[in-house]
Amino acid sequence: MAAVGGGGLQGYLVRRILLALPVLVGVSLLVFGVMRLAPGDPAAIMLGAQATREDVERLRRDLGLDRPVAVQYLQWMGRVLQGDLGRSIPLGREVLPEVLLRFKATVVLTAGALVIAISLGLGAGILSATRQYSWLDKLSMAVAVTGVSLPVFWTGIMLILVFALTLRWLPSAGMASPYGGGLADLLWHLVLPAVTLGTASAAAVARLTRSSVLEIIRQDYVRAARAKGLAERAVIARHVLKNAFNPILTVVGVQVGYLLGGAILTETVFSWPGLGSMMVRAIQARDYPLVQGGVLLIATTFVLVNLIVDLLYAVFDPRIRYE
Amino acid sequence: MSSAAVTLAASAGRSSLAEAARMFRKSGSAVFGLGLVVVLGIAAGLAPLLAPHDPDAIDTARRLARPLTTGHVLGTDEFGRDLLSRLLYGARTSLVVGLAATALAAAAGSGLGLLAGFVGRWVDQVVMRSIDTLMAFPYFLLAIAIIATLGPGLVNGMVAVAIVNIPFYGRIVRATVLAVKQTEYVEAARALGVSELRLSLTHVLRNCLAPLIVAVTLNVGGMITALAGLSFLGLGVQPPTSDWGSMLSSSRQYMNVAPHVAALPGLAIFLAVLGFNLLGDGLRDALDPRLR
Amino acid sequence: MSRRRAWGIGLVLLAVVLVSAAVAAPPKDAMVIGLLAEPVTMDPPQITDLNSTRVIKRMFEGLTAQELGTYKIVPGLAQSWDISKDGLTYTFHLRPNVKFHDGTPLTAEAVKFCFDRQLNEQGPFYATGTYPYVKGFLGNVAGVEVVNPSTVQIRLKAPLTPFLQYLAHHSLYIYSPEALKKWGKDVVKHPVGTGPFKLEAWEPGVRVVLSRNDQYWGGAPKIRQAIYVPIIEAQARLSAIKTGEIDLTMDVPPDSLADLRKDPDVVVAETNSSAVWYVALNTRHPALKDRRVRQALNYAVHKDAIIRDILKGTAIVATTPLSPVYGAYHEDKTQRYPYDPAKAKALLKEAGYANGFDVTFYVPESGSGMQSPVEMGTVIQANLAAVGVRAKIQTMEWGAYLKKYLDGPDMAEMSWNPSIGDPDHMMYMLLSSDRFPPAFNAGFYQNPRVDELLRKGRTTIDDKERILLYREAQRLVMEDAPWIFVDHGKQVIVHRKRVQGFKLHPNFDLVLKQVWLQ
Repeated sequence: MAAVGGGGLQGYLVRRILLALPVLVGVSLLVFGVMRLAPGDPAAIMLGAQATREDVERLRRDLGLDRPVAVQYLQWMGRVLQGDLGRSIPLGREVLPEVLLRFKATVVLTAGALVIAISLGLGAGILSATRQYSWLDKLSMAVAVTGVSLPVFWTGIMLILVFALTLRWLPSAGMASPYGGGLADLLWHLVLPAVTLGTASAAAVARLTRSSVLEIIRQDYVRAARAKGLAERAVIARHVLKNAFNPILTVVGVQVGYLLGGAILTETVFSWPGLGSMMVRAIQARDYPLVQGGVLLIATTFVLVNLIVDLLYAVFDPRIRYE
Repeated sequence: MSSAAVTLAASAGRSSLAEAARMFRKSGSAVFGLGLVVVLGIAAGLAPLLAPHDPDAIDTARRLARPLTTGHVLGTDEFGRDLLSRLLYGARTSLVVGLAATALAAAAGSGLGLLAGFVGRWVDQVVMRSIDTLMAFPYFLLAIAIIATLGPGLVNGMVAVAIVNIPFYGRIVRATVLAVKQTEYVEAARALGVSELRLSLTHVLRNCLAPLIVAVTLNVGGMITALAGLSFLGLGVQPPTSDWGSMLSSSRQYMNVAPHVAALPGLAIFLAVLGFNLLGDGLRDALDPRLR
Repeated sequence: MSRRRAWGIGLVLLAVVLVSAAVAAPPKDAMVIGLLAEPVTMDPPQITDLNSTRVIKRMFEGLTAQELGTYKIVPGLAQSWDISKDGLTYTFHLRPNVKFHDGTPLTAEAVKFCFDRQLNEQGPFYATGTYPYVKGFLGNVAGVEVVNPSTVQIRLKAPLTPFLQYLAHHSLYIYSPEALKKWGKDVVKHPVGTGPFKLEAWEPGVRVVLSRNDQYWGGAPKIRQAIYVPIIEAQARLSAIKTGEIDLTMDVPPDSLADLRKDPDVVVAETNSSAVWYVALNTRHPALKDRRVRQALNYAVHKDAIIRDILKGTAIVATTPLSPVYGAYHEDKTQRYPYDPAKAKALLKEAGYANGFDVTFYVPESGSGMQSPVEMGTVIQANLAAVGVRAKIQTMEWGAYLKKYLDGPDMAEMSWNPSIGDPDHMMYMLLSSDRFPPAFNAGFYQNPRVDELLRKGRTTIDDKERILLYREAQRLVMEDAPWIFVDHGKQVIVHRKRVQGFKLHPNFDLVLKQVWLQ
């Protein structure tokens, strides 16, 4: 494995991509299989209660559902590779534009949450690590463990209760006002959901950052730098952060994955028109093409994010390129 | 390995255990976490004795009573059922299922990790790729899809959440196995001719134990929350049984008139998870100072 | 990033939020409607969900229409019609000078095109969609012919009295053939009809914007724009209507109605509907096949308590499948199954079930018109437990639930909200032995006399005769108790005071063409 693609950054990238492909195939197989194992016939559900058996059979033939599962899978994959994700069964609309539109909303939410998670989490984590055992450290770690323990759907409900229903400062649902609005309107709607989703993440980031940074601070060369008389800030900036980059990057990468896939509950509580809430309904409607398309998109994004993270590792740490 | 070496290793383990316990007791938050977990356990175990009312007894005339009304310390829900009793019985459901799901995931995940770490080569690759696939699948969505296949219900919810968490344990155990395989005294033992199997039993598992205990404790909270999340979406327990998640879900439409019905179950989940997290932190600090 | 910078960003965000918190007052000529879910598709023959109909019924019309507020049939796109003596040929005279939103004229050709699309399986446009209602409503149609550009003729295979009602169903609405030819399958996003509103924009998941059709034959509506937003959470709909963010909505938590009725800016409008909520009982189940057992279950359930405490008065007790909205067709005997657990136990004992029995009770988590399915199911379960019947609840999400329901379950909740007002549509579909699973008579209920009455009702033309037939059928059904009859849900619409001229319609539609804003 080490030699494939050659040494250096390029080779590393090639090897990483090759490793990612089986994962994507695996994901497609998994979602395809699980959906078809679920009881419930998409044709019957779509036609509703008043359809006769012949109607349902005819629709199944039209949708290609009467062919063997393996054949269905290959046909679907063939079209996917050409960029065609098919049509949603109940909606009658094409899957790809539908999924991309909802994905955009989820990305907006994830980005907002990530901003909060990184700014609060990193800041708190680094500060705590550099002032270990101080009151600041204890307080921020207490807040962090609280944040990690709060169920995200409860936090959302409580925030709505306080800020939307009681104080009426912020809207309680949706991504935009009915009459439309620009960036300001979007941000206004984004605050509560992003805070809900972001605080859980921020807490996790803070804890992990703290332990990563602490580990580095204890290393000998940091002690040596301090002994040489470098100012605290310089020590942090020059040595600690550079070496903490790796684990912090890992943490951020994991958070992105969690946020993308885990925003479902937040989207439900806030009626945010994202991919997660759409997928829950698609699963319930046995809308195979939509579920498959959506999952494939999320998984591809996740894999891509991981790839970028790995690449950044390799850029900053040459040792890794030869793995 | 010679018996002398085994004794040395064992005694080193024993004294570090005492040392670990001492570290644990010193940490205020760890003890607090343990306290919460114990309270949770008592609430769950003694629910039939502690609950003032039958948790399923409907009294529609007394719906949504505020806390501190006569006969109902924490008030009632939308059916007039006593909230305190429902929370206590809910503790049973949440705790038992949370622990069961964790045990299931840990067992399955560890098994896979051991397999991958020991056998290596293509088995390792297959297991790791499968784990990567499982991890690339959006966490909660996978649980929902599994429920769609199995049908809603407590046991199915537990299975779904367990499956989704297998990769977590698989990776930890595999990493430990790989690390241990390379340490010197394993090589030394091999040089002395000890069989492969005994190596695993005496060294790998002991080394896995500490990180596994920490991982499990820190994971239980996540399992409880995930199960509550599934119930929140209506995919977990069935009525009239309730766990904290479904209590929270059905309370949403009464937030205006009776916020306590929404606040209390969530608070319960929070305290339970907090307890396990603090406990887990404390164990980690005590058992493996390097990780602190 | 330092903590200071994080604070800085936070402050900037806060400033932006507070600045934009000054939301503009709503425009004078546009209104916002909060729906439970966004429309699924805008192609009339393919629609099966209520929220899609609430939107498309503003853009499309049928040959016949329902008078606002009742189920009475009045002229729609056909201004008059003749029916042959044998009841087999219907001749429709179309309204002159009606145009579709794309400018093409409404002609008999266009009408024939729309019917043929669904009917003719070999036709060029059949494959552009799926048609759930074609068998039910057009199964009896022999052919559609163009007599002249403003006259179209429909021939039936057998006389069918409710046929004019069928033509008012949304699946038979008329749309522009040019639009279908142009868009094919994508016509689901490009609705072109003759109605008082047309589609201006549709952002999936966010909003649907309809704007006024100035060329509407019935006179342009007074409001310029109608905006539909999906708000899934009942709580969120409630707060949105209270703050005035939306102008009209439905299905707010029943507990909040008392508070809303006191609010001076808000109007709560209520009316009976044709909906019926019941629990279907499998007449082939060993215990449930005995009529006394089924009657016992009806006595055991405390329907008044359910309506009072869970539905907060937004329903009336159901004593027959047809609600009072059906006028003379409704059989108005006094309540047949008052709450009487003692009588229930006595009946059970008489039938040999003194110790009760076990049964699986299916409950959907949600679903169109299902009110509060889990809560009501829980109360029913408790009521039954009190007389010894052990019902084990199995909840399912709607998709899986529908499948289960059509499989003939032992005991399952259902709600039927017909959008057309003929009693045949409800009673034949649900209670005739022609409609055993996988059709909608889930309990395999069969009473030969009822079957005879229902079949006769489909072909009898004389109103008075029909009324007698259906009333007798209802009496028999009440006696046989194939269901636990629970309630007829009321329609409850909440709107802001500035919305004037709004009138409720029995099939849950939200009619806007006569509405104006203060």
